[in-house]
Amino acid sequence: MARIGKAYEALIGALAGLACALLGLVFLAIVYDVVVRTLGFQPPYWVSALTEYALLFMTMLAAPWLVRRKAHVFVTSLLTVLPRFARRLAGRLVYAGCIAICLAIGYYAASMGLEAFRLGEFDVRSIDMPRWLLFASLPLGFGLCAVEFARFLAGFDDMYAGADREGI
Amino acid sequence: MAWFEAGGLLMGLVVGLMLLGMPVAFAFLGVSVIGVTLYMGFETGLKQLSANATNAVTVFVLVPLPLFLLMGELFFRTGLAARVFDAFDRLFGRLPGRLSYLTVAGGTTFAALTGASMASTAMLGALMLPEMARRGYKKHLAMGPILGTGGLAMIIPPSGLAVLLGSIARIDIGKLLIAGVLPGLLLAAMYVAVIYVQVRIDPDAAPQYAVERVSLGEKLRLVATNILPMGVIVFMVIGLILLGVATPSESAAFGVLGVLILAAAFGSLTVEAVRTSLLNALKVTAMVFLIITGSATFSQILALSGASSGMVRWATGQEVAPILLLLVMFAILLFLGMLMEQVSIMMLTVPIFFPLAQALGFDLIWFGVIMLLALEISLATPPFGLGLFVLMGVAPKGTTLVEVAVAALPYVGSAILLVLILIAVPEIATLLPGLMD
Repeated sequence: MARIGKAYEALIGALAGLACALLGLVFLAIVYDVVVRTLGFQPPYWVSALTEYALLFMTMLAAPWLVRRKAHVFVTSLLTVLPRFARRLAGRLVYAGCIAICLAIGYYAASMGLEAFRLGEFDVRSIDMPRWLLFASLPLGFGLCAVEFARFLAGFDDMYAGADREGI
Repeated sequence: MAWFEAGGLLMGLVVGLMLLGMPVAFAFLGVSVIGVTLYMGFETGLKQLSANATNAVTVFVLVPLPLFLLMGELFFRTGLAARVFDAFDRLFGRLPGRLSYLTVAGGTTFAALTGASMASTAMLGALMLPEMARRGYKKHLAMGPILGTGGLAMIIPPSGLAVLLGSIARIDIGKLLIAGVLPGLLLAAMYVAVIYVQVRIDPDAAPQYAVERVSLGEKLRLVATNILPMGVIVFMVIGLILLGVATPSESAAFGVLGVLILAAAFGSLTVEAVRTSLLNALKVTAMVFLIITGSATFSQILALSGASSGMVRWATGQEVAPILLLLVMFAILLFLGMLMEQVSIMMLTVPIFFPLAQALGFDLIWFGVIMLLALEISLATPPFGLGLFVLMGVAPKGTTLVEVAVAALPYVGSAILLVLILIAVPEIATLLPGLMD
């Protein structure tokens, strides 16, 4: 069991690492585009579409890692004045709600992805991206988020304990 | 369902879920699920929501957000920020209240080099508070400038929040970024004035202390080696957009490149700094992008239910001066600022406020700057301003939230005064963007 937990944690981390690599790729692609254009060569046609798609994959690959790191922003205004048991109850409701939301979106995105695959649909920009690939990122991201929230619900961890206070 | 019932239900639900402690992104997603179910039916609605989710963030105008964040992270983690700060420290002579002025100078420079006000506030707090405590500065003169100046990063480009606002309000992001330059600098000047007045009223609040003399030659060397190179980065970001040479996305990438080159030149670029910067930039980016993903369908449902247009029709149908409606919107932003953080406030209000501002004939870039100022103020409004907590995290033990909030008051007042000045003289915000046409 512990080994599965470790492997799963490594998977979450690896997906976040992949998202970081995509961020690096976005940076490099834009610099390459501008340099090539400035030197008077034909700029690469794929940069804008690639960076746009990267934003979606980056978000979905990092989504479960964000839940694991308690890095989602949430409002504590009411929670701080609630008695302990009510706070715990609110937490349970929130975890269960988040699981339901993730599963519902993940399920329908998966069915949309399968349909797009069957119909051979493409998202046409400067590069043609199979639409199923875009949809596939959602069940992956939201599905693993559901697992993360289930960990909180099962009491393995508490989302509100030691959460990051990040912002722009 | 009447527009006000639909609007009330959707807004009430999202605020209710947020208050329950649901992560903001999931609160928006949850209400979107309920909204699409009500207006489209469960299955069709969920499919529409999934399709929206694949489109919400795949837009080129959002690219500067992660890159500005990365630029800021690298700037702090490679030690460049500390370098700039040290240079300013040595340049400032024996000035009454020098550490407070130093905070404003350093913070304004950080604001022009990073898009993250939280990081800026944390850095300024960690650097300055212990030194100010050691030198006997009173708390209001120590914490106030940090809170005020930290928020400047929201207005002075590169501002991550401006990119976000521009993209969801569908206004020109380059112009919105540039529009923040003059108001941001004016606000920094007002902070300097506040410090001057505070030190004049109570000289003991900032005790004088002996400062090492720095020769003119040494000062020039410091400017040439530690400050001017940062100016090159500022130019790469702000200058290139203003000159119309690069899009905000391109200038953001070159900002990152500039910081990397400088850090390498100073020998402070490490694999660990790059790794941590990427991870931290990713963390905030993904968090914000998930909120955008959730709120995309939310604003679509608001429009579909007639709540957005109904609200605009109702507000513009009242016999009320547009300026009064502007002040009402500003007051709502300040109120929400007491309860939640900036991105949530934006997602809740933009779908209604921007169509309303347009119907009232406001310049949307100018309105965007006013909104950014309101969001900046909300960093420091108790009881839940994020900036207050960030500062509390680095403040000496025993510092209370009330002390931090009271210290921030004159700076909040300056930002409100700036809003009034912008209403009287809109050109402060519209002049530079006008040059880009």
